Amino acid sequence: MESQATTHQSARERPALLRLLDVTVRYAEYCALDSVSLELPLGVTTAIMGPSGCGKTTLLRCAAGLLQPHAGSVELLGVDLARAPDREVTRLRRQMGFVFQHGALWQNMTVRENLLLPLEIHRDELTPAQRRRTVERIAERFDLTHLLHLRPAQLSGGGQKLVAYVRATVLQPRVLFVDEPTTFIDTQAAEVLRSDLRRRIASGCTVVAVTHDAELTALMANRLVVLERGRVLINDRTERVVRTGEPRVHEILRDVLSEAALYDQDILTLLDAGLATDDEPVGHDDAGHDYD
Amino acid sequence: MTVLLERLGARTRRVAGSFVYAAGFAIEVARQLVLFFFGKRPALRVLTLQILFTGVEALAVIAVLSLSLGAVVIIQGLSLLPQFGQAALTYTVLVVVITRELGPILTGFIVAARSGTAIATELGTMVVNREIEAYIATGVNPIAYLVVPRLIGVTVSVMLLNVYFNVFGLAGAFFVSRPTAGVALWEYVTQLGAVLQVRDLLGSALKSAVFGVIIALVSCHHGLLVEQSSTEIPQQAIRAVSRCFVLLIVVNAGLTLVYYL
Repeated sequence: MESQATTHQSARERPALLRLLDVTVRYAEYCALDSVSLELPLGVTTAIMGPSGCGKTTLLRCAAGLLQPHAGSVELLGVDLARAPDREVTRLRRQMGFVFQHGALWQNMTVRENLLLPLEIHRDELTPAQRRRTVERIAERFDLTHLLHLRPAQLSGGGQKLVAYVRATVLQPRVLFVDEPTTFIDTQAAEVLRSDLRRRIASGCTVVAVTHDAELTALMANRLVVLERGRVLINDRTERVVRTGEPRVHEILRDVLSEAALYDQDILTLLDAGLATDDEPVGHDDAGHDYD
Repeated sequence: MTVLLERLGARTRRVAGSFVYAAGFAIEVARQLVLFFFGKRPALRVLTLQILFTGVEALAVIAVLSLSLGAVVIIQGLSLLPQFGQAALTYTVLVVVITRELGPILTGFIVAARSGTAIATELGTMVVNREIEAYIATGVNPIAYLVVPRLIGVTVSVMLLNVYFNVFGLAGAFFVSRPTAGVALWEYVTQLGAVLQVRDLLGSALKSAVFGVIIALVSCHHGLLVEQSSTEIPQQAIRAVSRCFVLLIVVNAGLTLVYYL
């Protein structure tokens, strides 16, 4: 109840990034999302958490318009992706990035071609040489230059994940959906990724992440959505979730976060320590103007 | 009885649903095909690769097959037809069998077996690996980027392979008729030219174009029907090829009928 009230309050305060209304998704007999209604504000970093198989990835795919729900509606930045005309959808896609859990790199292309395609589609004002230079510059930042000529199958799982992240962010999206961004990658690469995410969030990019990474959640998530068996258990500011009286929420957070990373720390204390504090990061409206 | 009716109803709904889906798929492909010729074409690379795989890499198989079949047809014609006093029909039979019938249909079969399975498997794998979703997330329409170039590539390839099949089939016939019946090259070409009409060539080209469209659409459709599991990929590939074979034979019969109307 509390979460719904907060959701409506947020909606009045800032434009909505995402509105899901009674969304149901089924895989054969299995109900992955069960009448989920959810609203996430623009400019707020959100972490979606929950036990395995609770519908986190399905929720993220629905939110990004990659999966058509069996019932209900999804609006991203005020646009119903299922009904909007092609041009509107393409305009919206230009502003968003999606990092898949297993990378989903295009196997028939090299790493360079994977990174070039978004630029070819959306930045046709650039010459081919400029696009190549852009890719090389970004690859250098992520220490991927030596991998540019390889095919995704020739990369390690972590390498693929990093390339997938770079591909999703090559267009400098306003909204970034990330599914388990730091799994499969080594500590050093995870730190590069976290630091890039921090930089993006600071510059106004809205991040919605499915994650089991306690550090990532603690450092970045202003809002937590906790799912269980295809239903939203709570959707609120991080500090309110941490202090909620719901024992089941605590149980899930402890299980999910400690299972993945920090075995000996009190995760909730970490979250509560004020690392992810207020629901008031820098954002911008539809026209791209900054607002507080 | 009720259970039987329920099952029948469910099956009817499923079949009707899949027809509606296939029709919607075909309409979307047609729309994107028009846009392909008038819009940006980042999919030219996919088109080139498709022609390379479907057309160029099939040349050797087609050459062997058409040379052998041309030889067989002329041997049968030269040995059987004179017994009925119809030796003059040998070249007509050759044109009917090689140019009008075997050229388009066998080229279609070979392309369906090679490229049809490859397309269905490749697209199915892309679905399972979420690569198709990655295209959508990037703002790339998968129909425009993956299906349309394959449709054009396969159609152009089948048409060109059909011409190639005809050249090699008729050449194979000559290579055999010369040592067995002492037919000189000039005589062979003159006789063939006398019976080969523009109508035959156009009919053959039309058939191969239609077959190319069928193979590409059916294979892409089945590849994209894969939902989640990698075990669905070979199932859909097999369905794609068997459906291609059936459709090619049925449509070939229809087009042959139209030819003689």
